[in-house]
Amino acid sequence: MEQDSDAELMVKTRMGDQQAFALLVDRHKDVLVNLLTRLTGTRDRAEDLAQEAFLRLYQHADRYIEQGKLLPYLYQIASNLVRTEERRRRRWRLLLPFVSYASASITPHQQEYGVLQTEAQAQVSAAIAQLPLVYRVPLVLHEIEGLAYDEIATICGVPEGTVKSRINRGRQRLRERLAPYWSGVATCQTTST
Amino acid sequence: MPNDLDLNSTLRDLPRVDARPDFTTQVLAKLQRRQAAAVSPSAWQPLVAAAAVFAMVALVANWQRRGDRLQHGTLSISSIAAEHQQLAKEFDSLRALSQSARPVLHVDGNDQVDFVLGLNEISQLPRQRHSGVATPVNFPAATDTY
Repeated sequence: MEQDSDAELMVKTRMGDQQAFALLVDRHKDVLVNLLTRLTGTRDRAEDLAQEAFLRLYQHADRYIEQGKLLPYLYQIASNLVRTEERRRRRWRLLLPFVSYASASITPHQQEYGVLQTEAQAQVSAAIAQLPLVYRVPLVLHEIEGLAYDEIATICGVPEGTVKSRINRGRQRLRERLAPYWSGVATCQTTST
Repeated sequence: MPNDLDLNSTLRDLPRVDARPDFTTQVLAKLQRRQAAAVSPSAWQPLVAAAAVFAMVALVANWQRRGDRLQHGTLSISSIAAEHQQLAKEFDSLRALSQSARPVLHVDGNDQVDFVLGLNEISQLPRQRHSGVATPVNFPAATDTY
């Protein structure tokens, strides 16, 4: 069964075969967790959301139309989950003004140091996680996961031109956010040399 | 500010984050928990039937109670109306009596009979007293000779 294609495994999953489903999870879990870690900025949240994405895939397996694009389909579920979760967090932030969302989003990044190897990577990772979702999803899918514009357009449900402009704007914002850190690094390098 | 080249290389150099080793096990465990939590139709059907029966019994009881209350209310209204009529009749007769009756002094009586003294008749008495000498009943004329 391990050599079965995604399509074959999905057919079996649709019939309730949990072994086939487990193989699908094993096959795509790393890619999905990596994407979600970049989108959310924390590994724990990423793992939770990735598990939820797989569970939704199983529960709504009958909705999946086989086009040989299971991974983009999973990306779509995952990015929708991130969107829903962030909306919920925003609502909570409105309800609980004393619970700072900013501090809540920074603390997990601090936990991230175990995962990220360098300070620069931690800064970049935090800056990505703070980008608006409309720029974050296409930027991460393109720059980190290496997806083509047309694939991202399918996942996000927007035209290809919109994807390109969002990636550019996302990149611009990221540069602006990283500018103070970057100039600091440059100064340190100049001073040390 | 970093240029595009710096940024792209930094983004691509970000280390990949893989899922933890027990990821798949956790997903399957969550799936089984959800499936167990989802109650099957065969299990909830008797519950629905019982709830329906209970609702019907409650409905009938409520309807019956409302009927009783309505009947009781109707009875109360009819008895109040009868009492009101009776009181009105008595009040009318008393008013008629007060308007038509001659002035009287109530002397004695019981539930059936009233002994009254007509005050119009008494007004004649002083004239009678002046007209002659009153004779005590208990002292006959024969005793005057003593």
